[in-house]
Amino acid sequence: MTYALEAAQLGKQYGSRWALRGLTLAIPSGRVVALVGPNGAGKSTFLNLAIGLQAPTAGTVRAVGLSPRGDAGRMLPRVGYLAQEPPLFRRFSVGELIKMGAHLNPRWDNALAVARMEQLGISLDLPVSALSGGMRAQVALVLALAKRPELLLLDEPIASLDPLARHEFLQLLMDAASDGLTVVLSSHIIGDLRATCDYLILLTRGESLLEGEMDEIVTGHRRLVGPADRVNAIGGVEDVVQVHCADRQANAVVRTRGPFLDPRWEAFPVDLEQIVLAYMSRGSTQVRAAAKPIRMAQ
Amino acid sequence: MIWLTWRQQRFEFLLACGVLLGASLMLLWTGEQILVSFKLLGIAPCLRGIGDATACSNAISEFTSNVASQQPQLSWLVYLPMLIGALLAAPIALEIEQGTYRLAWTQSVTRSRWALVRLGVPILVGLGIGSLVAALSSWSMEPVNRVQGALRPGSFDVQGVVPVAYLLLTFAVTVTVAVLFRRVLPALALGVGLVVVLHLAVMTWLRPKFIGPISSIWLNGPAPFGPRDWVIQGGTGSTSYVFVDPAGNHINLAQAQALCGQVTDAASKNSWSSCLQARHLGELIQYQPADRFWAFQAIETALIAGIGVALLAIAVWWLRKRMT
Amino acid sequence: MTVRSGGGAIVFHRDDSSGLAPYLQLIQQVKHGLRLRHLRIGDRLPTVRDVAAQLAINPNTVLKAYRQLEVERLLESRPGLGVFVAAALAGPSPEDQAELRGDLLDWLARARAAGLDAESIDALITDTIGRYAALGVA
Repeated sequence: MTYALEAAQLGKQYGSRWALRGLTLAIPSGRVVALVGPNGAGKSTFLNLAIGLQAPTAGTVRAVGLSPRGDAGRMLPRVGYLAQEPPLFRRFSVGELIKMGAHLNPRWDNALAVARMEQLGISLDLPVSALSGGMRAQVALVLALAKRPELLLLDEPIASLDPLARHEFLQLLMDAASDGLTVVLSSHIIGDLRATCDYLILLTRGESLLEGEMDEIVTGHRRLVGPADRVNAIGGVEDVVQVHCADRQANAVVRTRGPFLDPRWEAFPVDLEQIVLAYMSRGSTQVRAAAKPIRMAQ
Repeated sequence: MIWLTWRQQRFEFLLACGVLLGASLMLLWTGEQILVSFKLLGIAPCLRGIGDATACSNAISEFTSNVASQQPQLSWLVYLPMLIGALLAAPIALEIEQGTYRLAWTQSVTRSRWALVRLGVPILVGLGIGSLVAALSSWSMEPVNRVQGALRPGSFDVQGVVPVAYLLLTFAVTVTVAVLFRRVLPALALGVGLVVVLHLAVMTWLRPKFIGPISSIWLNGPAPFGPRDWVIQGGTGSTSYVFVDPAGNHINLAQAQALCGQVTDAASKNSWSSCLQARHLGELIQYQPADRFWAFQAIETALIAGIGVALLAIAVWWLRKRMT
Repeated sequence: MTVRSGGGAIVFHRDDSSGLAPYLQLIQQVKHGLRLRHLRIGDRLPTVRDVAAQLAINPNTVLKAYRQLEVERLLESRPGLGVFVAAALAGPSPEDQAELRGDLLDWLARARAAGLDAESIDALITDTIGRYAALGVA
């Protein structure tokens, strides 16, 4: 099994604040990974460390097995990166951006770039300044894909796009994923992620609260509704993530261990967004030292 | 990467070439005027000591005043290299402000290679343009140099290698400010502003001291300096006179006038001179001989270019280590 | 406006509000197509890439669904050619259907008599099906 992205006790400190701390993970190749968390959770920091835009304060990170800062020359052709509001030269035309890509990247698929632009209906003569936000994100994605990377890091590239533009962007991305590309997609629009990603990492305040296979996470959690006096004795669950109590009724999000059969509780499926919210609100109240990331079974 | 640098700076390179063309035409025209004046007035034989002394002296005076009338065109020439340096650095500053430098980094270009080419190409272009302008200036000033020497402020600053050094320094300051503060306009303003101020300071206070001037006490007879030497203390047209008595004490103009009266016309000038001689008061003269021109060029170039290179090193280091 | 789909005998859709995992949704849609005879033996299904790109879903999801259906022998993969329908899905026989329907109507009458309204009945049925499924039987 090869790992496209690995981190060991990775940390980044700004002054006295740790933007990222103790992050340890290993993302297998070929996955589409959702990187979620509130603003300021450390998602951008993690991606910056992975592409080598910043250096870690603690720990190590390896992309496609290479050190992003030490081995930048060998790593950069194999790893793509897209930032929010991806920077494009406003004075260039789309065709010139493609030409730039051909000049700068050792592995450049020019035919793919031209074909995709045609597919998207973007003329090569258009200057970047004439493109809408959605089209710019598409162009940036095509440029990133045409360099044939093995790993693609996306830092909230579609946060400011309308639903149709987001959908088209994700269609292009999923097509590229069919070739075995590993993708790390950071977003706080969780609805987009359930269907597109098969792996999830949840960061809050620089630490990982939850990681695992997407399907296992979603099917491995339940919402339970039942009697409030039994809330401390829910049998047959791995972990109680969050509980809300009224006088006689309690509502809990739990992680199950196998099929849940306790008849005192009504069990409902819970969607990804609710699961993430439950972990995030727990993460904000729990003492940091005690919080360890929960890993779903491999 | 070279294609990219060219394409990104296409407009500025062409503009700089346009400026070069304009400056070249201006210099060719000016140089031609000076050369014509030099030839018509027959200055060359005069400099070799041939011909009537009074006629020569008049011819040289007329030549000098002709040249002085060209001065306004030449004064902008001092600042032209700085403006070109800032112009060439502007696109880089813009790229840093807009954050588009990240695009090249995500296209498999390491930071080192990006910095090397992105800065290197405009620097080479700047050196080329600066050298051409300086060469043309030197050519156009050649007759003037033969009469007045090239060490004078004004002449010195537009000839030789020094203009190229100031171009480089302006480029370096603009880039460094842009890298540290990520704003184009402050970078351009500080780039040109700081260098103009520095240039003025060097010209006024440092340059006279690059090499210890030759000191002399002028009692009588011909001046101890030639027309081509750069007089920094004393001589006609000086702002401060210093006199030295036999004991070696320095006496300023006011004190000397108290002793020997003021000079208002030819008669008072004669009595002034005889008074000074009677008291053995000599005028203190300090000057830099004309043949030190290239030595001074080397010193100032090393100083200015050295600062420029140091700043660029800081900018590149900051770029590689600290920027996201 | 009618858009003819490029390749493949079925057009998949994505239901984000369903509690069902995406790959299970795809399996369900294939089986539904089989039951209704929209999909016949020998039909070619759209490629993994086409489904992933059209629906904007993870290609591994499509792969998982197709593999599961292959294990159930409903689909077969022919290397280089694609994935094809291999078998038909037998629905319940008309007699079985009629008997089951009758049992259900009796049960519904009892539930009504016990005082359950439509929503309670629905909740009870959904929960029970869920438990039944969780036991790995459904």
